[in-house]
Amino acid sequence: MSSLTLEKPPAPASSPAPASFPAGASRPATAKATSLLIGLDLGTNKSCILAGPPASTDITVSKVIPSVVGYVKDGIVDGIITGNARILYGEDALRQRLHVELVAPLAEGVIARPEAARDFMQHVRQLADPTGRAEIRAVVGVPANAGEPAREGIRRSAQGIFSRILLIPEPFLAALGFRDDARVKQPGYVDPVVNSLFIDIGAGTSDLCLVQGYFPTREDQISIPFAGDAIDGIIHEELNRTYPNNGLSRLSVREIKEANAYVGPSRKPLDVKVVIGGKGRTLELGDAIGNACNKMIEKTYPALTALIEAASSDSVVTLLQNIIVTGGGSQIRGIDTVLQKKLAEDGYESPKVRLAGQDFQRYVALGALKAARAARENQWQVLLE
Amino acid sequence: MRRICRRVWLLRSEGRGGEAQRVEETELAAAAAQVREISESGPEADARLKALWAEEGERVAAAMALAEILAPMLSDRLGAMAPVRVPAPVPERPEAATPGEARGIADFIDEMLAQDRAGSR
Repeated sequence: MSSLTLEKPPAPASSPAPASFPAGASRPATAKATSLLIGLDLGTNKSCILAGPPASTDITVSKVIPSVVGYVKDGIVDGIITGNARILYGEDALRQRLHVELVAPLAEGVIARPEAARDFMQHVRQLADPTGRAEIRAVVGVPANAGEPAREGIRRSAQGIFSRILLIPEPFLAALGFRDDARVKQPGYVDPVVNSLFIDIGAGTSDLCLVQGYFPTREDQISIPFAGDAIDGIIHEELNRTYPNNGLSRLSVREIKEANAYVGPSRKPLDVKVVIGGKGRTLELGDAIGNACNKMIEKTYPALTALIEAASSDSVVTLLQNIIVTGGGSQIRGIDTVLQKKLAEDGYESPKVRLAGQDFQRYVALGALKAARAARENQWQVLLE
Repeated sequence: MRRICRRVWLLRSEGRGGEAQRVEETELAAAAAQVREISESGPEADARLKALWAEEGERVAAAMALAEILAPMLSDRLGAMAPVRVPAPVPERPEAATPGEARGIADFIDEMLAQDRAGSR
C-alpha cells in the first residue's frame, strides 16, 4: 500500500477508496442518501418500473403500468377527471378513455411519439420518487439490436428527468433478472447468464438472444418486428371478416387474445363472450386466434434455430436445455411445448424450452435494476438538461 | 507528480483498480517520497501533495464528463461530414464462459460499451 495519506477528492472515483484514505473522507455525489436507481422496461403496451437505493438490494417501488398517456379532451367539465388533471397515465388514462386522447408513446418497441414519451418518463419519475428531489439514474431496456435513432429517442425523452442513463438490450436484462443470485454458486444451478437462449416476446418486437457468459454481440441477438400487437392485428382483421360491424376496438381484441391465446393444433370450438352494440354475443374464435398465434411460431422458429446453430459445439448441448420464453408472449398457451416439439422433430439434441414464469413482466426491469446497482461511475451516460 | 496522480485517477475511472493501485504503490509512493525529501517542512509537503491529488482528481472528473458529452456530438458530426464511412471491424465473438468463471455485471456492461463504440466508429 502507498505510504501516502491523501484525502479522496469528490470525483471521479468509481472504485472504492483505497485503504490509505481516511474513513471519513468525502464520498462521491452518487452515494448521497437522495440517490435513487430505476430499472425500467419501457414496453410498447406495458412498462415495468422497479426502483431502489444504490448499495442495497431493497426494491422500494415495483409497478407494471400500461404504456399509455391520456390527454384530456377540450371541453370536459370540471370534476369529471379527478383533480381536473390535464394528463392521465396508465390505468387511469384507460379508465377515462372516453374523455382523453390516448397516445401510446412507443410502437414496435421504439419511441414513436416523443412528447408523450417525455410525459410518460416524467410519470415514471414521479412514481419512483414522489418527493421529486432524488437524483435518479435509470437503466432502460432497449430491443435487441436497437439502432442509434431508437436509443437517441429514449435519451431525449429522459433528458432533464433522469440525471444519468444506461441503455441495455432487453433479452440480456431478462437473463440477468431471471438469474437467481442466491443460487448462482450452488452446485447444480444452471446460471442463465452463463449459457441460455432467451426468447422475449413483447408487444412490438420479439427478441431472441444467446447469453453465454459474455455480453451478446450483434450476431447473438435477433429482433423480429412481429409480436403481440401484430397478432392482435391479424385477429382483428379476421374478426371483421367473419363478423362484420362487430364494433370491437383493438383494445378489446387484445383482451380477448390475452385470455385465449394458444399455439399448436386448432382448439376449435373456442367460444368467446363479447358485448356488441350493448348485446351479449358468443363468437367462435378458435381458428382466428390459433392461426394468428401460430404465426408467432413461424416467425420465431427460424431465428431460434439460427442462434442455436451459431453457438459453439462445446456449449450447444447445455444451451438446448436452457431455452427460456419470457415477456407477454410467454403467456400464449403451448408456446413452450410447440417450440420444443419442433426442435426435437428437427433433430436437435434433447431440447428443453421452458417459460420464465409468473414474474415474466418484471424480469427485464429486475435485470435493469441489478445492472444499475452494478454499473461503474464511468459507464453511465450523462443527460444534459 | 501531477502526471502520476492523473494516471492513477484515470485508471480508476476506467475501472482498472488493480493497475491504479500498482502505480500508486510504486511510482506515486516514490515520487511522494522525493517531494518530501526535498521539501523543508513535512506537513507543508503533505498538504501540497493532498492538494495536488485532489486537483488532479477533479481534472480527470471534469475531463471524463466533457468526454461523455463531446464524444457522441463529435461522432455524429464527423459521421455526417465523412464522405465515406469505413465500416468498423466486427468484434470477434468472445469465448463462451466456463462454469465457475466469475464475471461481474459491470464487466458485461464494459463489453457492451466497447461493442457500441466499435459499432459507431
